[in-house]
Amino acid sequence: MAYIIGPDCEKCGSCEPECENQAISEGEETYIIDPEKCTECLGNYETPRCFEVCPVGAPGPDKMRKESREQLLAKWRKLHPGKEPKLFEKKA
Amino acid sequence: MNYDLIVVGGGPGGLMAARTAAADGLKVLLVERKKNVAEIARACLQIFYINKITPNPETGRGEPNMDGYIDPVSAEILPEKCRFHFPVPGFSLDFGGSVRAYYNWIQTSPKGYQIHRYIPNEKVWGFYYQKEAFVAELLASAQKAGAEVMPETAALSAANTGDGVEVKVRRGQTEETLKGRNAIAADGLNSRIVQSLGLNENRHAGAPRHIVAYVVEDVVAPYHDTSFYSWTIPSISGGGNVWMGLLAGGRHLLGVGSGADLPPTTILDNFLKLPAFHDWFKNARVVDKMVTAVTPRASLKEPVTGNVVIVGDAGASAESWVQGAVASGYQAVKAIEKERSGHTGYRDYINWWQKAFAFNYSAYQKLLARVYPLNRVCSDDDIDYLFQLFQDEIGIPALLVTANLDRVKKGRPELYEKIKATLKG
Repeated sequence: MAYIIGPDCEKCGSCEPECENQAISEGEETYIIDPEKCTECLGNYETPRCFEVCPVGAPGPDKMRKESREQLLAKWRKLHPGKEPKLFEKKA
Repeated sequence: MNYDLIVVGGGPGGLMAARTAAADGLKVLLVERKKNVAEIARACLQIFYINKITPNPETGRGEPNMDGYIDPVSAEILPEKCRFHFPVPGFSLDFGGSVRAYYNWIQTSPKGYQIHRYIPNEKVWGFYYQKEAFVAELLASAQKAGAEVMPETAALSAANTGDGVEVKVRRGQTEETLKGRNAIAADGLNSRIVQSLGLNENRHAGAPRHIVAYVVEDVVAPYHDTSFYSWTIPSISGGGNVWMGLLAGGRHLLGVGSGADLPPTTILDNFLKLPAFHDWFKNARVVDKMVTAVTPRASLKEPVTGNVVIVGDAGASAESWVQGAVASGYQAVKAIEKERSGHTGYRDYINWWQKAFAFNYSAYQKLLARVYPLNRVCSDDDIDYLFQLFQDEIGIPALLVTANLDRVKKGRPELYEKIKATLKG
């Protein structure tokens, strides 16, 4: 689905270096996730890292962009040519 | 275009490095990801500690201000400015912005029992300094000395290339490679430069701590103009303490750090409702908010790799403090110059770094392990009991308690057992 940073963002920038897809940059009112680069951390972490780091929980799933696991994985491969994604078992 | 030095990060450490190098005649480029270099975007207490920090693990007394820079520093108040002295690296720094003196650190229990960290109203242990003005002054002096400063430029990675360094940066949508003889990584706690150089592989990282702080006007508390406050209230803040420091213009910064389980805003909002301190905040207004996240890591023991020198928070366990950032920015430049002229600059820097910060000492790590578990095993009632028991002592409560457990055993044997269990292992 790609994640999006909501209005609670205070622009501390703590998320920016955490994104392994380098999808995050400073915008006017908030930091911004480039949806072309966000795989919801699929391929990198067990859960979305920007959300985990954010002190106010500003990032969340972008409900306007529905993407399947396969689509996210394909996106990851394009962003990291020649590498293998880190995948985690979904917890019950 | 080839630079003598590329500095990554426009905080106090990076700007001090850029200014020092430019003043020494080096061709310097500083890159900073933010649009406004001097803007303080991350929550910060903005305290310049001035006492030599020597933890005494046996008695819990002294000035064990935890993890930062422990070389001596002092502050001289002059008519229009404050002069900070750094005798070990051997420089002084003038500052024309706001400063406010801290005489007290009042550690408070849920019902309001107090243990003073320092003898009340005796001497200054630190200054609130206005960080935005501090950074703005460093920026101006770096540019005046001839450093080129490039904002809105996010550094992505660095690579050593034999006799130089390549730093990959992003400006808007474009990526660019900058070339220089040396680079300084001053891009803070989650340094991309440190990560890209493979230096995080053996650095254990803890869970991120979420910090939220409210800028508050019209707080009225005992000694509110000269004191730092901290509250140990497990029922609302779990393992962290709520704290309150000074800001410019009579304002205060009220904040807390917590783990993922408990949002800091919830803790602060619950704190402001507590009857014990309600009077202090009854006319207060929250006028702004500062936030940040801190991912603690083992510190870098060797903050030099190839032609890249790491300074400040980028190599720290959690915080190097502003004086640590500034001192290491200066020292890093001197190290590079020394190394380039055929002397052991890098080795000298590493030796200095390992001694200058409490987080590099194993004794400090052991001390830290004794401080926070108290919050996690004690109830509000336990904390009230302990603070009342030790209210005439001076020092850090957890250290006073764990160094004098026999006193707890007499009155509260079950509490004694609970605390003793946290000291095992």
